[in-house]
Amino acid sequence: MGILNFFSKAKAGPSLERLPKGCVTVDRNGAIVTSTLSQSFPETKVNRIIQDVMAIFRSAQEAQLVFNELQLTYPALRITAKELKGGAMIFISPP
Amino acid sequence: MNTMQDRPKILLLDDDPGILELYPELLGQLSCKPEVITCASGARAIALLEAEPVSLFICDLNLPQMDGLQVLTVVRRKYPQMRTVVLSSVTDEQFRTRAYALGLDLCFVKPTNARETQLFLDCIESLLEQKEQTGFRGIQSKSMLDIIQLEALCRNTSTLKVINGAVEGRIWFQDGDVVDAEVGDVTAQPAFHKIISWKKGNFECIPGEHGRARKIFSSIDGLLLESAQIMDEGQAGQTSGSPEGGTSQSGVATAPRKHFEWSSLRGLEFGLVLAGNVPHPLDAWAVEEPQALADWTRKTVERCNALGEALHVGKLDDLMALGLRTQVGVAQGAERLFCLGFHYSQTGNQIKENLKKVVDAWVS
Repeated sequence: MGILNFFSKAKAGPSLERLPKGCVTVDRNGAIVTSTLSQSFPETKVNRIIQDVMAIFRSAQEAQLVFNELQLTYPALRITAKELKGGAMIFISPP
Repeated sequence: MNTMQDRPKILLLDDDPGILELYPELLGQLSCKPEVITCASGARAIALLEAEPVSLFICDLNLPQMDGLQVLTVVRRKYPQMRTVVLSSVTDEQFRTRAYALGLDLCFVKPTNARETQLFLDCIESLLEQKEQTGFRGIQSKSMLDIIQLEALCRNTSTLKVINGAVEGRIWFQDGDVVDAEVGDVTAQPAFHKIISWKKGNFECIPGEHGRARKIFSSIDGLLLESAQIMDEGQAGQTSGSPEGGTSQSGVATAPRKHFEWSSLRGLEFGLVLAGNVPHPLDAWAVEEPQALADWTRKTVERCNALGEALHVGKLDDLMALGLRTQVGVAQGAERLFCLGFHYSQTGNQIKENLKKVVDAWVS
């Protein structure tokens, strides 16, 4: 009977992109050093998160605000970034 | 019978031909007899929406090329007033949360039996019947002024409980006269003027308190006239484009018009409020460099909102920047941006709570 299932199995439809859960460490140039994020999450989006987080740290320094931790809360995602001597450790998780 | 012009239009986006065939028939059973337009791709849906307005947009999540969340992001940005519904077989909580974060009205799992189908149709019908919501829940299109006049005219002894966001206010009537009012720590006439200035919310008439000490001695007409004057002055201030407080040319914060008792917040070191496109701060409290902080806040929130949109997770709820000397909380609400600085001893939860207090006070 299993063979019938094989023929009748519907084609897999398009799949939605899941949000990642994990941590990524970047150096002062924004290059990824280590990452525990799922590989299915596009690298372009990971880079976008890294760039924005680094830019917020930089702009804060320019405005004479010195921070070592950032927490961005969205309705469906939380990003926590800890500054590491110019680089950063970024945690991504559901809120 | 509905004419063609009266019939609401529904746009249905799904890549399953079976759904596109079945649902127009099902939706056609609604009493308002909607006109249902169908399409199978996100790009086509956006093109159709540009060509003609619709009352309701029903969208699947699993779509080829452009997924449902991407389509909804575009649609919500371009047509924020349009009702949007997700109808999908996706049951994962994460995608539902993300869809709701984009501001849609309803997220429905594709019905699998007659009862669920009927429930879905009832929800759609109810959405189509809803007009843009203004006024107070219970009496649509009535202002606070109308509600108070009604209580006075009926010579009621009652308590009017009004809820606006997280803020609750009460007005006490005795034989149609306003005897007291209360909003948070504010009482009597100032509280009455505050409540009457609210544009929307929920209200409830609860039994009056006969022994309530009288703190307001003006007549109802006098009170309403005074409130109208205060509101007119407020509007005139806004239309003339004058900042409600702000910064002097030297960049030092000038005494702003009081909107919020900043010093009441525990551990607060500075506070800044910005309006949409106005470059200078609307209100600033103990800020050393208001303009530099305003620029950083504006740029950071714009960046975070753009990131949220790119990831389909909604707009930024809040941002906390923690340092060894100062901690900063940033939030947005009522087309304003808020940036508050706190002493390093304050915890993240305390900062969030205080941010919420300030946003609620300004929203009300």
